[in-house]
Amino acid sequence: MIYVLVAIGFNVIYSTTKIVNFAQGEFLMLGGIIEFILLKYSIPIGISLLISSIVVSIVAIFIHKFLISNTKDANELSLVIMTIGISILIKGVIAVSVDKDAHPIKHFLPFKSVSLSGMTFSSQYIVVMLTALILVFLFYFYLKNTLNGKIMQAVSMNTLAASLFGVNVNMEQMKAFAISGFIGALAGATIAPISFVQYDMGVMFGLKGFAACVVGGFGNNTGALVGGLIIGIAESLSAGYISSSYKDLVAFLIMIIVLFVKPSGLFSSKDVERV
Amino acid sequence: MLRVKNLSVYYDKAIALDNVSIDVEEGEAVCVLGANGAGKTTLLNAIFNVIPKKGKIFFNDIDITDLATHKIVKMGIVYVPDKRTIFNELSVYENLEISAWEIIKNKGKKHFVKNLDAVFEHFTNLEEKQSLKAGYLSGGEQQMLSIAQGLIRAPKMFVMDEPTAGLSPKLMNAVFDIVYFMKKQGITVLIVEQNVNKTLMATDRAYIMEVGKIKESGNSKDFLQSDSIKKAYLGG
Ligand SMILES: Nc1ncnc2c1ncn2[C@@H]1O[C@H](COP(=O)(O)OP(=O)(O)OP(=O)(O)O)[C@@H](O)[C@H]1O
Ligand SMILES: [Mg+2]
Repeated sequence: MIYVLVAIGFNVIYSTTKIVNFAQGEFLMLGGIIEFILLKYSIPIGISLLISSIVVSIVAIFIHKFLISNTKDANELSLVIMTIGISILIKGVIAVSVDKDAHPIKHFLPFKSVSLSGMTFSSQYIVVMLTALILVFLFYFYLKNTLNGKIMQAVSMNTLAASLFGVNVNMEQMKAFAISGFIGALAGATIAPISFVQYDMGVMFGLKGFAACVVGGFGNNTGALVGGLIIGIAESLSAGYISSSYKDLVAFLIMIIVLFVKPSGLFSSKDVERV
Repeated sequence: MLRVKNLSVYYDKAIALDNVSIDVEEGEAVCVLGANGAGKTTLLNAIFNVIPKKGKIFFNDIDITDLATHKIVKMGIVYVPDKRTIFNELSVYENLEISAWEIIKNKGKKHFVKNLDAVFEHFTNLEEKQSLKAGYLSGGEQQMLSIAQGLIRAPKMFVMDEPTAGLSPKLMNAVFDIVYFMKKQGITVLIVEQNVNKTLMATDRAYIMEVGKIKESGNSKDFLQSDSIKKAYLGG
């Protein structure tokens, strides 16, 4: 489920800006790190979740305002490379200003593990699952049922038309970064008790979320949902039935197979711009 | 109402628009005619700041030269470019909702529905297909939707680029009917077209362009009668 959130984070930015944001994993890491710091000062979990998500949204807005929208004569490729630079920068800043250690975070629920029909797993998986379900639902509702959400979709479908109808495209892109930062941080903060927090924890999540996007079809949110679930389930199955040391391989194997068979992804958005 | 002064546009180093000036007075319908590649689309794109340019542009005496596209249209001008302004994956209704989003936000849903009903009077076909995805409309219907999206914004001025391109004679007449309707409503019109006779009949004044320059300007009626001008610039 966590990959669904990462994949949606990628999609939100990609669909409005056509930029693949390789700092998406770092949004997760920042969410986890900020939560860890706040919890150290005994701030309640709910509040630290909220604060870390808002702070990361603001970081995302800054990235868009000062780096992305100010880059002169930018094309998509140079902006994508820029996001790789940003990702390295964020990791560096955290490694220096916090540290490079892995920090545990206690489970959100009062009990550590649950048993279900003979299987025992961390109670945090329930939290991750619920968070993801709620976020996915809210995000879909926003896009499909609110005027603001439709405007955001309009920008991704036909940017020129949107601006001819008075939509401030730059503002919509900034909003996309903010939403993506918020979703990313919440994902990072809820997965933290399972994965620990560390300055480079975002790398693998980012890459696997990227794989989920590719599998589902970049820019397609249903694709993100399905792609994220496929990668997540395949990973747990391979850990269970083969060996957990091959776990990381599976996501990329699936991605490569999909790229071979259907390069545009399972849910490739049918020529969105026929204009 | 719209004053364009000494507008020039360069693509790389090639000049596409060379010191072009045009005026459109309030309530007038003005057309820009010219052969393919004359620079008509370039002129409109430059006015709406879709492409970089040199020169000055005023709307109601306000300098809009450096205003962002989304701010220019907020002043009450609609631009329907030669590319369609529809959102394929959204329904016809949602397409109209988005083009009129400021009306919904500022004046309320009721006002929007009122405008919608008024627009549907001209586009009965779209009314029937409200819930269909815009991408599934026929080419002609998509073109009509683009115009409807502009009309529902209740503009003071309506600018359009070859609205009849690729339309059947019947739909073509429907487009010109809308031009006549806009004139009656007091909406100022600036139209770029290939359909010389019908356009000259529907408009008050005309500019004729050739390779980036305005070659002639005058009353549409006079051009309609002048075979020499039609032969020289408009292919008969
Ligand atoms: N993006 C661009 N880059 C380079 N040259 C361009 C570009 N857009 C247009 N041109 C050139 O500028 C000139 C004017 O083009 P424009 O589209 O304004 O013509 P037009 O009068 O609208 O023609 P049509 O009637 O075919 O629509 C043409 O020679 C065209 O090739
Ligand atoms: Mg043209």
